[in-house]
Amino acid sequence: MELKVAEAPIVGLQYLAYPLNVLLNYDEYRAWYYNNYIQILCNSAGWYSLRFFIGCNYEIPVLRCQALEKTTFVKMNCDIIRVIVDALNDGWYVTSNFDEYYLPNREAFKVKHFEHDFMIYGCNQQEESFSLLGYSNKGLFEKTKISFLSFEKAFYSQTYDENATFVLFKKRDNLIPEFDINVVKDFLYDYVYSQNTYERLRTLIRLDGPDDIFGMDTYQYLRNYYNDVAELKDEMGIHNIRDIHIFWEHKKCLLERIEYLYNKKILQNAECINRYKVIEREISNVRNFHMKYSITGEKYILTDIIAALNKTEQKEREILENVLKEI
Amino acid sequence: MCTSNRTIIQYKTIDIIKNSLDDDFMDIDDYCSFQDLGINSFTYIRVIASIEKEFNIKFEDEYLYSTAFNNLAELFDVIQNKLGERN
Repeated sequence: MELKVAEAPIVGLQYLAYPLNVLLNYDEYRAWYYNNYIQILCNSAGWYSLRFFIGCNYEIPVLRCQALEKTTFVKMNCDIIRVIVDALNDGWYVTSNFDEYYLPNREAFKVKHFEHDFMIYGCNQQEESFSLLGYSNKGLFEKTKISFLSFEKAFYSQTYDENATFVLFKKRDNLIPEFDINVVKDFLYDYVYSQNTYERLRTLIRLDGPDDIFGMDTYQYLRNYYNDVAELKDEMGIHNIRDIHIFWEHKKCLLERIEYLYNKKILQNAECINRYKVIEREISNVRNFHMKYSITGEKYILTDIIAALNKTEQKEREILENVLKEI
Repeated sequence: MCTSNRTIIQYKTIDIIKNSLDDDFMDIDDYCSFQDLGINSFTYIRVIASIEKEFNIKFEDEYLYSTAFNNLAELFDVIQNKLGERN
């Protein structure tokens, strides 16, 4: 049996993709998706921290979740295969962490111990295998299989960290989210003016750190990163495409939202759609330049990247300020 | 296209593709797309960067997308044109 898996528009980090792989199977949850994924943040004290302002599955209110710390779960000494098979049969998707050393179709397979998150969405009891979703050794976020035996080895490998969780989740049945233009306005304002969105939620949750930067200030974070690469302060980093990939996914999300606002007649001016398509394309180009630099090491590419980020930042600000005025 | 009619440029380009896929024996038809060959975006850019180096040419930004060419024949044409412009 396999539970439904929708294509996620954000796959730069697996924990961001999994809730969308579940929720976007249902049209009525699209409104919640449009309300969110507008603000981004990162930690200026280090690289590879760019992310969307959204939590993992058990922090998302439109999901029904049962979460335990993995250490607690392991101490319970239960039959992990039985637990997961039963959960799947009851419609729960399963996320946790395991060691990809034991996982065929992964880069780390039999090469190095590497703890990573996973989502199981199906099982075949005759074949004794689970269906799971994650980044394969082809660099693609895709569906693969793992035998029960290999899964047990991967799950109980000694490498997992104490903060890992074991979570069963599915969409809530008793909640139909509505599109909320005021939420979109708030998030968009915070993005354009680089506001700390946690300030809005300070009585509920406060997860920001002193070095966190928000919204369009992330352009400067990226420019600093590419400057560091040019000055050889970060030798390995250019091979990690995650920050610029997520930055590009963010532009795709904002484009989708501008189109949605126009289709709902909240936004009257179609021109901003075409102008924002250019922004999305330019950041996609930067992502390509990043890959090209990581292959060729040609320094002019870094100069082109920084120039492109400067140019795009100004244009994006202008477009989004106009959108904010209009909505 | 019959492979025996290929030009040196085409042979060199196909060698680059085979090297990037680490498969010297794969059968490559001129009307294959990069998607048909199972080439992901990173490998595609590696192919483009290697072609630039081999022929001392530079592709415009839009050619850094694997969807820029419907098939290899189109890629051959662009390389040929760039070499023609240079000469």
